[in-house]
Amino acid sequence: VLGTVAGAVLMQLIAATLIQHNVRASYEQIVEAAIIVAAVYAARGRSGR
Amino acid sequence: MSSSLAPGTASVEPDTGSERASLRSSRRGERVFALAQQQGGLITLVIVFLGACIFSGGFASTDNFNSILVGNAYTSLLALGMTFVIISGGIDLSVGSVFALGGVLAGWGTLHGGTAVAIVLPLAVGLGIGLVQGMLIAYARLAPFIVTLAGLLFARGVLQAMTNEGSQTNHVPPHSSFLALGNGTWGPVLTAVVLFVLGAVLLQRTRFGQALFAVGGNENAALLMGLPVARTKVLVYVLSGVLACGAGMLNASRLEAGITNIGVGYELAAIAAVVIGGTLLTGGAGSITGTASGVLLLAVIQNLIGVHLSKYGSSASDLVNGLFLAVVVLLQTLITRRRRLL
Repeated sequence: VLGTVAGAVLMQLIAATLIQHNVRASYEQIVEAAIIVAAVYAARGRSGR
Repeated sequence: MSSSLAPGTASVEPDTGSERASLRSSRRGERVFALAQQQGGLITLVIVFLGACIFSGGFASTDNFNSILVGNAYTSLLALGMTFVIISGGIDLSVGSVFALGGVLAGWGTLHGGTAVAIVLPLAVGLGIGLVQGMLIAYARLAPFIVTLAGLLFARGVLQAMTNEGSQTNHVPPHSSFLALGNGTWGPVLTAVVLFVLGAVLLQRTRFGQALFAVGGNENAALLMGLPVARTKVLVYVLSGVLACGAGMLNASRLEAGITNIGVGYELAAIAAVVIGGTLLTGGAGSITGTASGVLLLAVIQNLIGVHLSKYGSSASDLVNGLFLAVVVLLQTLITRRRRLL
């Protein structure tokens, strides 16, 4: 549950940071996509070990 | 089993007979359940279609049939690609966004490079997206749900970036030969029919199709059999990506523009059509004819709702589709459990 909360907070933090830096919403979506894949890949690597 | 014992033993014969009868009955039951699972969509389609022709005034008209067929010709290609993905045991949530991206790329292509660019660019991008998703799923062993969810966000983000956050529409020039691709009534329908036939041949008559069923049925067993599991999975997502982007491109030709806000929720409609058509969400079983039945069934229901329940808007259509899907999944689960017991 804590991991889920941390993940949700992290995604919102990244979205807010991108908006503050005047990054367009479309690029924000692309960044979110990359973060999702990277996070799942990292989690898979951890569970694999 | 006692049926394998030597005949002539008085105490065994009645048992043998009853066991044979029970075996025959269980085989009959298995055949009925298999038929219900594989052809349930088609049977329901025939019943709903006949009911609509008899009870719904205006349904059985050439214009209405044309409208149903043309309106669903290109979106049915998403379900075609999804059938392969679901049989492999995966899911592709990106097809709706990739469909929209295909249209936007085609519109952009006609403005910046001509018809050839408008055709090749969406197909190449669809192939690229499918290839990346497939490799992440097959080689990096990431969950298809997450990878294609990221693909959904990526494709939607790219098309928004290309169209100034969706505020700009790429209209196909009126003189462009690209418009010939999607115009008319029978062009889109024939394109869809030809692709469905090719899809059925690919699934039923090729080594790839057989490998796909094996991978979806039991991936570990397929690996032990020496089948190219990873390559099969990558090809499935490539196929889905190319079909989705290609369908978007053809749709842009019909609409004469690359519409940015199109395709939202199309992935769910495609999944619904595939599941209603008898393809198991768990993979390993399914057919292209079943998917065609599922697409047509949803289209007929949507048409009937449009005629009779238009005052309730699109929410009525979503409600009926949802209920229908819930019933189908419930029946699939019951049939699968029953077949295991038989």
